[in-house]
Amino acid sequence: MLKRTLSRFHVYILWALASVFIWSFVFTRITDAPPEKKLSLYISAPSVQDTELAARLEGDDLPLGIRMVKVHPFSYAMFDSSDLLSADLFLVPASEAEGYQDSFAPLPPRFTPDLTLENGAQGILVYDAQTHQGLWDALIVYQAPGAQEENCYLFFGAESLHAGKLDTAAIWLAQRFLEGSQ
Amino acid sequence: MVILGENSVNPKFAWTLPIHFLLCYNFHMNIQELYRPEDLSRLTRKRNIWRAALLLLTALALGICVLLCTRVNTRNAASLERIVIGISILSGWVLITLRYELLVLSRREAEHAAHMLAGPREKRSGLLSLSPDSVRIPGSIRVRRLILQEDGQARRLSVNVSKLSQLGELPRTVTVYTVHDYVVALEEESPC
Repeated sequence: MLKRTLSRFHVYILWALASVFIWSFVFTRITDAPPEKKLSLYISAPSVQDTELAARLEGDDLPLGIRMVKVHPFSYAMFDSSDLLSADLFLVPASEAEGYQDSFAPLPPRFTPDLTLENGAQGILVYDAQTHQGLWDALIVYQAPGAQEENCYLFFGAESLHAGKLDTAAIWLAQRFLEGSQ
Repeated sequence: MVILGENSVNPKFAWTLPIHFLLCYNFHMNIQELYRPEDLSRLTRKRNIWRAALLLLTALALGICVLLCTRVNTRNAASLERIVIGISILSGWVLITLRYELLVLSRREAEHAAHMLAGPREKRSGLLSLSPDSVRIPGSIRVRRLILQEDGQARRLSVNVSKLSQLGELPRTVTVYTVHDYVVALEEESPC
């Protein structure tokens, strides 16, 4: 029987590959949603516990029409990908803000800006390099060891589908993030 | 008036016909059939049971995976994905193994039996002995080779290993019925 089993080794390998491929596809489908039904936050930081942060931001009270919150490190996608460009919120260090400023928008009126870029995009301070205090710093490592200390800011995405007058889900997410939770 | 042909029975001994018939009938009853239609239906039923069992197992594994998919949330998605992939791979391997070892082999066994029942029979007599060769036809039944010494010539025959015990003690002189060189029945040599 062992000999017969070994003679079918390729079938077992093919099945394993097919299982990984099929179920990965299924899980990608059921754990993702179209941009109009999800809120996305891209974070440029050395380390992010993206799943835990997304789960905590979601809580139990997502805005109407929103199915999930997605948190991605910047390494998740190239900056020119449509997913990244249509992100609702960005968290970036000060040194990178200028480079990405075309993707950022001015803050909604209820927020007070801590940083204003040349094109008018505005950010909110979420990590203070002088005090080493940051929001959600149990889940986000803002500074790599030995790297130069710098502030990090939260920006609204210029292409966000949820930061308009009718859809304010991105504002809800920003408030949830700024409330912090340790 | 009775016309007597070369092989006709003399009316004088006509009364012995029933006895003769009984003797010959008994002789035919001594033929050891290795394949019977009821065996074929038993094999087919067995195959259907295995098929149903495998379908049930497949549905069970798939049902567990689908159930887990319905429990997915942001926090457990990664771990559930790994669990579902693991269940899928392992259950698939088990089902592939069972399918080949049980379903396919029982189907081949049934096909072989049907082939033996339907095929043209040849009758041969001689000294039948076992050959040491035992081979599995790829993806099919295991057969044991036999040698039939017939008129000074050795003829190679085969028998389904599962039928080997029905051949009795070998070597011995027997009359065998074969289909495509597979032994399907045998009878002891008899003066009748």
